Amino acid sequence: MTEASINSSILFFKEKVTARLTILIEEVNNSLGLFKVSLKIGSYYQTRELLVNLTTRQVTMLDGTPLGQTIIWIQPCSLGDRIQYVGQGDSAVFARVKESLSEDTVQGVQDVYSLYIGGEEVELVISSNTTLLNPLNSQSIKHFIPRVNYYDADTFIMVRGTIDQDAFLSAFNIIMFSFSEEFRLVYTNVDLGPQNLFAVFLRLLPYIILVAIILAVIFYFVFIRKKRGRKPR
Amino acid sequence: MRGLKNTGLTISGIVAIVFLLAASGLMLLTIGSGPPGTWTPLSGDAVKETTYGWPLATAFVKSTARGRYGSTGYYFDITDHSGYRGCGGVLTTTWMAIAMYRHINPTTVVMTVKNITNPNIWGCGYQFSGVFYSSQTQTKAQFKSLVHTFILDSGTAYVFP
Repeated sequence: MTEASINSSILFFKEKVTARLTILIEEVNNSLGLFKVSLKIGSYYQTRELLVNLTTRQVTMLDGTPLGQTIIWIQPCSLGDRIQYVGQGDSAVFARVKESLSEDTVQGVQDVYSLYIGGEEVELVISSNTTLLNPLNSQSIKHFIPRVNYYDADTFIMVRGTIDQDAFLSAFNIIMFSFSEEFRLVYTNVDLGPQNLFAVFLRLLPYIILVAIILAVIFYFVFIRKKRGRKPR
Repeated sequence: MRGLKNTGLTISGIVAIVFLLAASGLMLLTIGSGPPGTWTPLSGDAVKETTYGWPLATAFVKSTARGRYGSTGYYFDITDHSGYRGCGGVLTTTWMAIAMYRHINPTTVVMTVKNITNPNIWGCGYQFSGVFYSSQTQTKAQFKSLVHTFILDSGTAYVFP
């Protein structure tokens, strides 16, 4: 099978549909991992076994068909870095690590990096007569949809964002969902690191202030005014 | 025998033609209808908006899609779709993304995704117009308060003739 013979689809949904992508690492040999990836969309359920280079994030099918790179995780980086996100050479797509935020994740409030990925604007022509996109050319600066994705600052695993044009999706002949779908990490056995307790405190602060005001008002009416009322004239 | 075969072929041919005519009639009905020159209403699925804040919204993202029927009433001689975001109070913004899909002919869709990075600018919009058979627009934006960051998604606003 060659790259050109892969039929890839773009899925449009009229209603909001939940899709679940499950990634299981079965075996690791040096930097090469055997992954079992499952995709469930409504009643559709399929599983694929894929080979993944853990260093380069390159994904191939067991028969050697290249699917491009996965964006589920990225190489370690820090604030302000510009990293090669997907693609190779002149058509590579770059991402800038722009902000450090605190984000609700499956393991509490974590520090995350927001990555601003790709150019400012991309235009894709989707025709029912011709196949214009395949997994590899979709991961080029010309075709890669610009987006902002959020990665855990300790493990560099995506916690929120858009997984369109990811190599794992391409294994199921899906290039992208329509723009409406957003990826969220809902479970992982990877330790995302300690929670950002300061952010937790900041979020609780309005409630703490509210409770303090209520207690102060009660205290005022029950003790201070009562005391004043008792004072002899 | 030959006559029977020919009759059989003729009958199946007629049946096929009738089916084709019926199918094309259905397609025309599906593709569109509407008085030429009038705009589709800006209501229902043509407007999608998501707001944040209570009792008054302090942030919103909105998408609209609209089309004006062409001379035959079966296409839009102009469509107009837009995405907006806005916020106020202690909220601020960082980025906004607008996805626009439009049929340039019944079998071809053009998809444009635009990412606008303009932190701390409260209001922002993007508009696109042209001769199309359909318009779909969706807007997302990230907002920041003092204590957290969140993304609003308008949903997809769409209009077909």
